[in-house]
Amino acid sequence: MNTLAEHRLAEVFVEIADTLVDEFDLIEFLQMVTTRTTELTSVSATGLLLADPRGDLVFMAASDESVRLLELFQVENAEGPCQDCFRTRTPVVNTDLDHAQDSWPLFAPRAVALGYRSVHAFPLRHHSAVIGALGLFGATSGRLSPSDVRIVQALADVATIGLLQERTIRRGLVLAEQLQGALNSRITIEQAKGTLAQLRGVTVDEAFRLLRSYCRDTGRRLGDVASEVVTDPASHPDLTRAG
Amino acid sequence: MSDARLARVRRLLAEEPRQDTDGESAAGVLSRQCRALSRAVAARGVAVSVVDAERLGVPLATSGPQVAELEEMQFTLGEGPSLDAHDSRRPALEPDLAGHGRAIWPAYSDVMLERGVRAVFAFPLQVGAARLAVQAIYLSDGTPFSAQSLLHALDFATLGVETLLAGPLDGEPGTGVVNVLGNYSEVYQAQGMVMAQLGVSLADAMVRMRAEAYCLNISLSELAGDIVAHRTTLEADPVDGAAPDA
Repeated sequence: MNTLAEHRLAEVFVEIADTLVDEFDLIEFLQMVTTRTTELTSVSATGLLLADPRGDLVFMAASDESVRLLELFQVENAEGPCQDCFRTRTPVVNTDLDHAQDSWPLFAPRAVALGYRSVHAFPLRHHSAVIGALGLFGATSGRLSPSDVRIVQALADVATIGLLQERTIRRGLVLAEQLQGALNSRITIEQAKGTLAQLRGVTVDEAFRLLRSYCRDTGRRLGDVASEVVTDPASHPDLTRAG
Repeated sequence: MSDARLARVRRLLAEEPRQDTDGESAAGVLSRQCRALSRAVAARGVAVSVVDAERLGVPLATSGPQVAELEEMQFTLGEGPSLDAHDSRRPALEPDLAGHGRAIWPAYSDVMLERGVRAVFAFPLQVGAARLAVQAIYLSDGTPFSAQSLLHALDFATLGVETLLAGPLDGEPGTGVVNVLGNYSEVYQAQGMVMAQLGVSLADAMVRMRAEAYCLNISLSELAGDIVAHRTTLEADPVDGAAPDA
């Protein structure tokens, strides 16, 4: 990482700290972390998965929220770098996808088909537990430097802090409350994508872009708008009206 | 749900005797599930209530009449874990009504403590923005709520969602929506599309999709993929019997 990137890194941490001060939308926050991770490390895409209380890894946010990337992350519930990282509680870095077919017979060919050559995964750590993983996909077989590795782990730790927004953790049950809430918000966003795709006659990927930019333009939180769109589409006519 | 957990839930349900009052309705099925969960976590009782937009709650099913009375309290007082779980769309888990609980629900906590209830755990039965009901577990003093209890509670909440969405499709609990509610974005995207297309509620959209998948003998995620890709469109009138567009 050069000096310019270091300057950018400082900006990113200031941006994150600013976000955590106010009441914020968790999914939007996690998406910001994945976008900034992608920018800082020059990978092609980053995604974040959380473990539900059953131990399943569930997709939460990505720097590029396309159907194809979502599908790839869904495979991670069975196998892949994030799954390995989650199970071993340690980062999985600089894995060359061309040589990963044996380890991940489902995951590796799909990732290669999407144009990725390398993958990395970092644990979201909370005390001794791992509550999820950050997955990075590179279009080249380029490696993360030791300083990149430290920076991405720091970003993963920041994502954990955002997730556990209540500063005092009450008997571990708060974590279960937060995770269940986050998993359900994610479902609501998928429902809103479908609703908008139908109403606007666009793809679900395009529907998500419309939803994002509408939230940005109006200063509204992603989770709130998604929920309102599915319960009462007429409440956001500028977003839900066709044409 | 994993096979092992599905097997465990089925065993717990099978061990729970039927009662004459259960009947075949969703509320009857839920009552038996409440009793099975209550037994599994050694609770004072379990209740499932519907909460409306005005935060008025109505118990739909309980493990027993005494729990119904406990459950009514929070709706009478206008505060309590089920209402919070409904509002926040996430569990409200309070292991200590005498301490932390009292700070957030003073009147409710006192009433519960007077009746010997020391902990209440409330779980929303929901699919994204579709809020169906809330499941509350009441524990007496000295009963621990373990990590295993939490998993039981979550599994029974998932089962409750299935029951409220028109029950298991082949009569075996855990075979319907449960297997796909978890990790399949397309199911939820398709649910949103069907809701907008047919002008029905989110919950009804899921009921329609499940019925359609059952009729076509395909999985719900497969049907969802077809809907999102516009290979299948659900008809507006379910009793029409018209075949979906290929």
